[in-house]
Amino acid sequence: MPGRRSATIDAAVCLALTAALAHAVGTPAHLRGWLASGLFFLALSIGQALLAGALFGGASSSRLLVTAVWAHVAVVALYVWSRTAGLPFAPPVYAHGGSRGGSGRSIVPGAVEKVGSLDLLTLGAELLLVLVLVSMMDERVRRLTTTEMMAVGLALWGLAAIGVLA
Amino acid sequence: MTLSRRDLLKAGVFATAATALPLQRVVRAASAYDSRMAASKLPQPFTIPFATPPVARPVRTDATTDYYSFTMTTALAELVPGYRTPLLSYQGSVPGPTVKVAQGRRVVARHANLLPALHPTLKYEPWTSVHLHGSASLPQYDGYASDITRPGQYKDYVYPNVQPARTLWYHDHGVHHTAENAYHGLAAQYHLFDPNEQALPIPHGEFDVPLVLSDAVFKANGELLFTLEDESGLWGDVLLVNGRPWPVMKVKRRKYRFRVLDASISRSYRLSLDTGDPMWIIGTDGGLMPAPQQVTSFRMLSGERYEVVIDFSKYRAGQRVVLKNTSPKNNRDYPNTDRIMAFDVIADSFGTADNAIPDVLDPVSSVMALRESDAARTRTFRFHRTNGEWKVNDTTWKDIEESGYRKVSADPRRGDTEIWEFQNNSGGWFHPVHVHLVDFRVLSRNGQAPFAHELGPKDVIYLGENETVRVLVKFEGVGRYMIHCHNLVHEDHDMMTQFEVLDPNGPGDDPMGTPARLLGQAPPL
Repeated sequence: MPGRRSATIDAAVCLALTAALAHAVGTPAHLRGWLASGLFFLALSIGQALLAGALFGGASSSRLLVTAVWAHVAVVALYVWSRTAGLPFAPPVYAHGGSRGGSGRSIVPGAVEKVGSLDLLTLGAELLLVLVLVSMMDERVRRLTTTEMMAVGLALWGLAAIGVLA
Repeated sequence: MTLSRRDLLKAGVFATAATALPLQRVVRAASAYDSRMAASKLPQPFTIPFATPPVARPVRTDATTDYYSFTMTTALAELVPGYRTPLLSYQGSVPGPTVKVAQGRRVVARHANLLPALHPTLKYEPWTSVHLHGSASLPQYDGYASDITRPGQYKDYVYPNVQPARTLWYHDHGVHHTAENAYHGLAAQYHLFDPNEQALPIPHGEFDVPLVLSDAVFKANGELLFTLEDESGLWGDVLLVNGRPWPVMKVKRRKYRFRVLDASISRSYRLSLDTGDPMWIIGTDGGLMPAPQQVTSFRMLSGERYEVVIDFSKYRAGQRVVLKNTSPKNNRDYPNTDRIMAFDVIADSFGTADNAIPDVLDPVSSVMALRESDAARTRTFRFHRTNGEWKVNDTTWKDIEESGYRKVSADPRRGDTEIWEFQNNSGGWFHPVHVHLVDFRVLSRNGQAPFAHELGPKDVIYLGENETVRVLVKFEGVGRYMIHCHNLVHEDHDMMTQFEVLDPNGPGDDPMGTPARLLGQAPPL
């Protein structure tokens, strides 16, 4: 159904652009705070904008869809970790002072970041984008992908149950 | 768009985890206080005997200097009967041991961080920085927040002790974790004596008593519950004095001098006696007042110290007198936070010496002799919350860090006197404003005269809701020092900046210039 397919692609383009814009908005603050996280936000924003462009241009290969879905699943999982357990690798302790100097920042290693409204908007856009991209896959790939997503979801719930993602 | 019901269910497992796990943490944090220990498990007020912290002993002394060796370790203490609470301690004691030192005796205090790599319950790295609050220490020994000592490291702090007699306190000041560290026990008093104070017939010795006030909230298993309430503060349902909940102290029918320290993370107090009788304030943060001030109540907040004389001679043996707390606004109150401790009057005999309140205490206080006309300039410091961030003049400690610790909010010249005006334009919270290095004289509060209990040298000021407080400061010393909110939750969330005292003869020492070293490299003290 060409009409339905077009609407699906339009939705995916809009959602990818929304997420790209949200990450672009967050990039300057993250760059000021910690260069690595700022670059990550920038890369994410560019990647999502490129994805929107590719989808708009008609690209819908299985490889593109699978790559985009798993990239977003990884980003979402990283977000969940940062808002529950705290990211263990950001930033180095010496950034806070001590004997090694360096320009510091205020995110505490291992600290749980706050859930913000922009976060939730971005998360919602990304989850919907994943669903739309999954819906564009052929049946065999779609079944496998949703099964693997379920496994990731169960793993997150399991980690929460044992207190890792508390 | 093709998605079967089964596909949706499978994807939904992931989507619900992605949304519910972060949000359930938000919901849980909002109701964290609901999971506290049941009131029925808490001790009843005035059932636990009062005690004072141990007195620190130097490991050696020489002609000029006393050398102390402190270790910061974890400890288990029975704060609530029947429960063992994991704490952080100086020398295994909560509060830490009281240091007593004579004016002119230098102190070298080695602080070794023997804490675990991760806090036992909160799972952060418990780095520390020890601030001797009230001391005009050199910048590198001042407990600069970012001058951290990590677990496995130590630092030797040097204290000159050249100031007038006063009640100081040493406590953790490590960037981002001061609240957790101090809440779990890294705080203690430090008494500096001088000949003038010792010669006065005010209570000394056993009648000169430290009172370290704090508050805590316990989980059902006895651990301390630490929750940040939108980073506004932490208010416990248990009030502790010297680490004991609502203790009861036996007192003889005479005058006692209490060195009251508000070591709470966020709570402020208004102290009074249930008899309605007066108390006499004889000392403030920076030492003795010029003259005692009689009050029936006074308010104090985190970081402030007041030396208070209570006269029990008018009470009969067997009478109980309660030290009450009428919470100033914007605290969180619970059923027993309206009382602090009790005094049970006993008939035991006592000596008649040092049982007076002279009309004159410190007639030569250089701080209280400062005149407004001496001021070279006026500076304004606005304590505010903007876009959810605690700031001082639109500056956070992050800005200081990003400047390589060079950015300053004020640069007075050595020897200058200035008026500093602190503003809080909010009605939603109060701020304890602490200026390192200096003592100041309070000039006015909202254009009115300061309260009676503030008529002495100060280093923390109660900046209440919609208040503007003006103070007069003379700058001795040189280098960069901190100004910050002493609500430790605000402080940890970057409500800190710094000033630099300039000297034409050269810059001051770098506050980060004498870093902590590995314990294995420690020479003998």
